[in-house]
Amino acid sequence: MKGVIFSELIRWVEESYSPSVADQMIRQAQLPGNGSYTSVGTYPHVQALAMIGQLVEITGEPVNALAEAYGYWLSARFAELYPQFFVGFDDAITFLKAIDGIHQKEVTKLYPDALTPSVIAEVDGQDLLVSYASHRPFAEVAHGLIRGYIGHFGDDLVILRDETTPGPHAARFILQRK
Amino acid sequence: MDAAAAMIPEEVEAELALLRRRLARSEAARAEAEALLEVKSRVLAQANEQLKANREHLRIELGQRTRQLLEAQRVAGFGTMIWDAEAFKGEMSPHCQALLGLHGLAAIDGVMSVDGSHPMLDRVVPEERRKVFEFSKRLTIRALELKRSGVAGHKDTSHQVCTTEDCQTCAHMADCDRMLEFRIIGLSDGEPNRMIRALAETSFDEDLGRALVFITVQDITREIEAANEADALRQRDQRRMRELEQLAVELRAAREVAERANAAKTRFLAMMSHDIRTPMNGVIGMLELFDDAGLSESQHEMLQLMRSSGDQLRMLLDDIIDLEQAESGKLTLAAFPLEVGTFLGTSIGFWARAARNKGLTLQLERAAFGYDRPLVEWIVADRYRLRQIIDNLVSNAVKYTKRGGIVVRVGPVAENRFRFEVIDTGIGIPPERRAEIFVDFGQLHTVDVQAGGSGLGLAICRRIVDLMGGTIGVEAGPGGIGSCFWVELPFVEVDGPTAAKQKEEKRLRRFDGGRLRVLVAEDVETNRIVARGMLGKLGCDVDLVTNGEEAVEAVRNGQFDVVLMDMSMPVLDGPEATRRIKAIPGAVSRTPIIALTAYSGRAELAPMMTAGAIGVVKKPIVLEELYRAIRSVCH
Repeated sequence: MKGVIFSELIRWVEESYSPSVADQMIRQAQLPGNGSYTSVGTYPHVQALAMIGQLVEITGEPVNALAEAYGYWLSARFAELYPQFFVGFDDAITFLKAIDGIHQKEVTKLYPDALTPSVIAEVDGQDLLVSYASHRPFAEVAHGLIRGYIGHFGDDLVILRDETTPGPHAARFILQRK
Repeated sequence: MDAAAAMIPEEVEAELALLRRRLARSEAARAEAEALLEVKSRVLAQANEQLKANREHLRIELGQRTRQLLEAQRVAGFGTMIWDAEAFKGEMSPHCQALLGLHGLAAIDGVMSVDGSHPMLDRVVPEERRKVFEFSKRLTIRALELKRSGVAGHKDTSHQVCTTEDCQTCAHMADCDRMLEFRIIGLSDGEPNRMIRALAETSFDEDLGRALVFITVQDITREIEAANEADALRQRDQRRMRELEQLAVELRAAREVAERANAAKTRFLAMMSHDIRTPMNGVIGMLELFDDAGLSESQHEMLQLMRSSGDQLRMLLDDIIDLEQAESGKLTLAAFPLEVGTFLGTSIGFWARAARNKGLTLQLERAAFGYDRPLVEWIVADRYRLRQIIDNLVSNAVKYTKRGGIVVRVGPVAENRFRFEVIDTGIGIPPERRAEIFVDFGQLHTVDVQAGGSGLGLAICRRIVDLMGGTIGVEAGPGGIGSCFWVELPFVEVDGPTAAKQKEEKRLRRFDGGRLRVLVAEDVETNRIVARGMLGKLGCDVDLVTNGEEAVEAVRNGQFDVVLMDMSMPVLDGPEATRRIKAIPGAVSRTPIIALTAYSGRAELAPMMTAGAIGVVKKPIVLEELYRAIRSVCH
């Protein structure tokens, strides 16, 4: 998994909680590199899971809520770090529909070794169905990202979760206009 | 250090430791990022080098392809031009420049005006400049339309963009409209105008965002000239074909006329033959019957001359008929056993009197001709045709020899081939004219005519010999004196009759030795008298009737050994009378019937033979032939 997910996770914990919580999370997770991550590097995703697990221990908050909150925060960081991905899009639906066709390709161009998740967005009448699937258990992070993008574009949409596809590896989100 | 450390509160110490760890993580991350950057930079540098190499390779490749394309254009004899419809700029390939006489003008620009000066239009002959201008204008507008439509079009029609791949309608319409042929001024002083064909395609290049007209240019002067030449040749061929067809029509008409004339000739010959033979029968027959006894020498000579003339007349008539049959392919051969020695002796002997009368000797000799076995005794042959050859050659020899004599030599030349030679001491034949004497009417000179030759005899001999599969020729006689006519014929040997053949005598007898009783049915009185006289001479008893009906009655009531039946008779003709006789119950129906006819063709004889006749005697009746015919059916 790309290093940006790790470095931004530590940054999020430092900003949302405190540098000492982040330090404690890193130390308790007993990571191979002692928590040093560069955004252009690539690391095993289990290290991120280990850090989130320690954060649950430290804060006592549920893991899903933490992951979703991280995703939401990350969407804003993406807008800051990679503004070129957002150029030409006026709404979240168009943006989400382009993730699989355009954004993932751009990521692959920069990082040929990146294993990107599958994010398929389909229009269903007035709704947009977004299907997430990955070998990594980050469905909640994806939920947070989608919510963040809606906020970024200022769209008047609500996200419903299709409960028939539970689990951290796959999820279906239904975006409806309010 | 210990004093200082003792002064720092625990919280601050913890904060510092935290900061040190964060710093350590940041430095580690930075070092890792720098290492990664280093790797990425190297990769990028290598990629850049590869890119440069690829670009250079592509540049070389492009150069080669461009040169190949230009060379291909030069070899194929066409050039290309790309025209930017918006910028009014164009590029011409070198060969395009050469074809249009615009050397060194690789790029052209400027709005084309039919009235103003433009390097391209200036090369076009003045009367066709408007046509070229309109063509250029039309293509420019279409290319712009394509760009406006925003669709990358491969072809366009007059009104709309077509993006269908391989659209046949579009292709056809475009082909009709995108080609222009025009003349340009000769490429050098004094050179005639050249004909150019331009083929254009408009397109919108989406990548470049340009409205383009792509034009190929070809010099078709030679093509046009060749087409004109081909057209002229085709017209000439058509003219010749018409002439040939006309000629064929005329030839067909001529052939039909010739065929009608030939048919008329055949009919005429048949009629003439019949009509001449009937009175001739009277003359020759009477001469045959005339008793020589008691005549003075001069009377005897006169009688001989009359007989000889009669013979010539008969042979001439036979020759004419035979030649006609040979020409129409009707000459055929019969096949009967023949005793060679007796046959030759009789045939040659026939001419003995004529030779003797001229004071000539006539001898028959056996010869070996390089093959040492004796000639076989019995062969299968057409007696009549073989006799005809011998008669012709021997009679000629007698005819053209004034002094000396004639020798006939006969013998085998191979196992199944024999040769006979007729050698005379006559006037001879010049070597250069020996071939033509076997051609129809191939008489040599007036001497021949004076000697009474028709020019047909040898021609007929050649045709008969050809039919028999043999060869005939002539050379100088021994010592260069006279002529030697020779004939070589294939033969098939057969066994002869077991009983010894009796010496021929011209007396006919019944098998029991009694006199033969012959019925003659003949409507012409002269012929009846001739027949009666000849049959009397042969020792026969003769009954005469004048038509077929009387003949049937006579046969029914009488006991005849043979019937001589004329073909053409009033009341009942020969064929019908023959059929009726053959239909009579009892033994009389087996009475042998010999056709008596002035016709000589096989076709004319056919009705009699079909009706049941088994022999033929032609008029004028020759005693020898009559004798043979009766003997062959009664013995």
